[in-house]
Amino acid sequence: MNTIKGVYIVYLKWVLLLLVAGLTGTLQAQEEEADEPEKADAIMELRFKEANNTAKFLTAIVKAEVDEFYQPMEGVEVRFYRKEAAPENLIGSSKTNAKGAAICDLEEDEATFFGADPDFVYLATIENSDTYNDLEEMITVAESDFSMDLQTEDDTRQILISLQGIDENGEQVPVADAEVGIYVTRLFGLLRVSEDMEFTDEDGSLLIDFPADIPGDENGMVTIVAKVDEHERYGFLELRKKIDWGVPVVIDQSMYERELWSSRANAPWYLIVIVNAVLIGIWGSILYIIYEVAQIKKIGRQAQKA
Amino acid sequence: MKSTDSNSRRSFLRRSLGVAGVASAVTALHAFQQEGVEETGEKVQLLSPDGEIVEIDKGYLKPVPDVHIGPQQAREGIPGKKFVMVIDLARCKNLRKCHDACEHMHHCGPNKEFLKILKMQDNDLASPYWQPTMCFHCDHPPCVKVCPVDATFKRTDGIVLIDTTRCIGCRFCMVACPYSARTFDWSEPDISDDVRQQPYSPETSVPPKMGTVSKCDFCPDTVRKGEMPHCVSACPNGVFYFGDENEDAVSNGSDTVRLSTLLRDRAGYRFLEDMGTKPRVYYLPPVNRSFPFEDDEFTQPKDE
Amino acid sequence: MKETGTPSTGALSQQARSISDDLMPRPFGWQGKIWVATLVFIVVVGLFFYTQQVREGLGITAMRDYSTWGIYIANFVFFVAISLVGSLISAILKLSGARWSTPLTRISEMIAVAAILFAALVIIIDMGRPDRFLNVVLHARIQSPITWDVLVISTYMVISILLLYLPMLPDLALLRDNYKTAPAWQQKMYRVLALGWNNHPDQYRILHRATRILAIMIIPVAFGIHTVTSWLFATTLRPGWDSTNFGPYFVSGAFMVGAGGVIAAMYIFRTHYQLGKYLTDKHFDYMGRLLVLLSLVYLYFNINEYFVPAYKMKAQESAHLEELFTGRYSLLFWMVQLAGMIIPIIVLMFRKGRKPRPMFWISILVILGAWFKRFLIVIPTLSHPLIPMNRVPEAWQHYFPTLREWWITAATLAGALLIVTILARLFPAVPVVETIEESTEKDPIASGNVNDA
Repeated sequence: MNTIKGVYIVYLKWVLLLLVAGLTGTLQAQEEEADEPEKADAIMELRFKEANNTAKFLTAIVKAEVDEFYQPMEGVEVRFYRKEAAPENLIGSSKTNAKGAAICDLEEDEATFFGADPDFVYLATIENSDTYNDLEEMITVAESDFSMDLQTEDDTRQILISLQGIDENGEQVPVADAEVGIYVTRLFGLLRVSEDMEFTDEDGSLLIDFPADIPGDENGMVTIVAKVDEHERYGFLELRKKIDWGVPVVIDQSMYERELWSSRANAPWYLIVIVNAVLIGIWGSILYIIYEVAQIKKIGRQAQKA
Repeated sequence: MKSTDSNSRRSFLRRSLGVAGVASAVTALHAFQQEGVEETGEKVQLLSPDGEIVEIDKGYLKPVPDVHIGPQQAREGIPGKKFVMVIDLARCKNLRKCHDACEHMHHCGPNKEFLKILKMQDNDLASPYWQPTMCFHCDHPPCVKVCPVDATFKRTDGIVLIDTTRCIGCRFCMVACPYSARTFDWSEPDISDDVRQQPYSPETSVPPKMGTVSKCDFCPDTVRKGEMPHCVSACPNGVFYFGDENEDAVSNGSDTVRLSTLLRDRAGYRFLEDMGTKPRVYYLPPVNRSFPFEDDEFTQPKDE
Repeated sequence: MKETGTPSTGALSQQARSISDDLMPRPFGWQGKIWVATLVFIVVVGLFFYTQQVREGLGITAMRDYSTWGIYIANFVFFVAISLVGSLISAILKLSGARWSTPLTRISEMIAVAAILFAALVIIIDMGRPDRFLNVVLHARIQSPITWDVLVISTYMVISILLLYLPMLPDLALLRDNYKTAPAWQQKMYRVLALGWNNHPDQYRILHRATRILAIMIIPVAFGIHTVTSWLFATTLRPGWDSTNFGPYFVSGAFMVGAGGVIAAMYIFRTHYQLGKYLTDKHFDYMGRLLVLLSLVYLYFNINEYFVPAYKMKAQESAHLEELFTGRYSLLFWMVQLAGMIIPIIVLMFRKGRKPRPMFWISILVILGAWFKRFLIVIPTLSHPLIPMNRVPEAWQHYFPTLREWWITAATLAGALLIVTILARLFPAVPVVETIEESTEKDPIASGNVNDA
């Protein structure tokens, strides 16, 4: 149990579960007209994630079949355990969000819970749910040290990645052939900097040139993200660093320019001058005429007096 | 073993909240006042009203109500942003998910379309294709030029919005728009009382008002929440890319790509470029299509 | 000559008395009463439907998202066009020394004031939110042609009212002093409006200068008002409107329909009030010649407007032009071009065609043609947007006004006629004092009418 190589066999399990669920579901549906509302089968994907080597947490994504598709389910209570599903091992419980994910914080130093055992086992369960049958998922992960150095050499900007991990024997070893993605953060996602996926060498390291034409913020700051996704032993690892390697963006001020499509406060000068000149000219004459008309009345009154 | 980086997660978190506090008093106040919130560990990126991307624990998000952007505040764009959309015509098969999501979110009636999917055919020999159109948020917007009362306006983030509390309903902008992107509420909109009670924001175009013009708004309200416009997220085929031109990146939900590369490699173009309106929506030509063109009832006239 | 030739307000000469008796405003006869009642009825029905429109929105019209402007806007353009008659008769003709036009000035200014008033009103009727009309002032954007239109319409309205009112001062004094059979309120109105006019030479001097300034000023404003109105269309990117020809095209069409309007009014006043002595065959003859000239100018701009794009047949324009020439609007289009322009030109070329009765019917043709011409300018363009109209209700593709829309439009036309009728009921439709002056002058050319300086 603790020495399973492919911890992420969960995926395979899913497929099986899916098949079984589908089969039993149809069979049962034919057999019995249930008096009680029947519980549905859900599937769960459990992930271990670590950000900047410090924030560690588990996410369990719960899905169930709706209209022939598996879709994320909100509001399902998921319990998280270390080692095995026993009350004393409970880490906590959490309800899934709109994206079907329940999240569980882990301590910074998880080794205290596992002692000398290099393999950390975590479980996520759905228990006594009103809507779903009981379900249990398990993963095994090990501690790792994922690091990123940003350096400038001969005008080229380089990202140096290093990945070390604890192997089955509890030894710290470089992790080779790990797939690493290098990204910069953008508004709606991560933009990959490297063309293809890159892999760590036998020293567990990787050197990537950072392109010179990535836009940053006004000060040229970019957030560089290094990610290892779905490593079979170390899970999902992520590092973020902010550095001034981007091209500073020039903020558009065109809204404040005097254009035909600007707001009334920013009307073009030539329009303001022309329109006002015409208005003053014409309305000045009209006012003059009205003044003259008043003179007509005055003359009439004087003549009457005389 | 442990990283030498001394950032503990909590101090890191507090720091990013500090940024949020400067950026958005409302969000941050709520975040700090929510004592006893269970941190989830999952970080989300948010766009503050000042245009800062802040990272925040998801646990803090739930209790925070939507920041309401009123007509006056909506005139300023989201700082530092320049929103842009790319529509990949090779992937559109007129599933109309974008249209339905848009209609639903903006409470449009059956004949009010912020987003249309047009059957286009460039010439007799070329195959027809589906083209989603909406407001192109032009950089030289002819609609804004002609507005007599400043009811429609161009923002620094590129978005063209309408303030229906200002609009006099002269419809000059509808006539001026060569893309027929604008709609008018000819009668009292058929909406529920709940929707009618909502505080109006030009950023949501909700609630609609009789006798005023409205149109696609690029959903700046959802963008502020760090989410894509509804049409973009509703499309299962990844037809729509949306992003910030200043970042030179657009995303269709699954992929984030460089805008300049995408437009260069896929021969991106803008609709009726010769109108000189400089749209902020680009199209990728319908070559190497994902789906063959199938005509359907959506090209037929419908009942009013 | 003013000192001697003008009738004193007290005692009128025999000839002057007969002229003023002829031209004094008269109570309505039975025909007049039916006429007014009909107009009032149409206005009331239109008002009723307009209250519905205010409550239920513009949805009661046939306008929808593509045909977003309809006959309200066409009607607006028509009113602006016909209002240009004031500047034509009382400015252009007068400044060019055509003294025969004197009896026509009052009628044309009355039409101008009524038309411009209703142009402003119609544009408010077309607004989705008439309650926010003040936004046009409070939040005015100087970049918008609508703002220019608001400015130039209000300016034109004020100048037109002044051009109607100021030259009428001597007549008002005459009415104040001699029209003792009028009801008390009417006499009081004359007294107030006459501004203490007593034929003082200084008063005449001021009046002539003011009228001359106004007459000069109204010409650019008149060109401005209709050019800006044409820009509401020409500043867009729509086929059929995207034309540099639109300003002069609109202005020339406006002068033509304005002349037609004056001729029709002249005929009605002449026959109804037996003014054959003052609105003579000669006046009709001259107006007929003028109308031919104006129609030829308009024809010239029409050729430019349709022939040049039709020669090129750009894809966007061709759908629009084909619809006009051979398509859905072709019958109306050719009727308007033939009956509203070509036939008047031909008929009025002949001396017999310039007699009052044929002139009247020709002018009716011109007016009707002008109204439907505005329809053809506004409506067909909008049914040819630059994007295909997919998945649009059938009714949206062919705009045809609803009954209520017709009624509201008819009410504005009736309302304008009602204003002219009321003005002519209260004030002399032909200037009395000026006519007396001219009848007593031995040499009208030498004496001149605007020699103050």
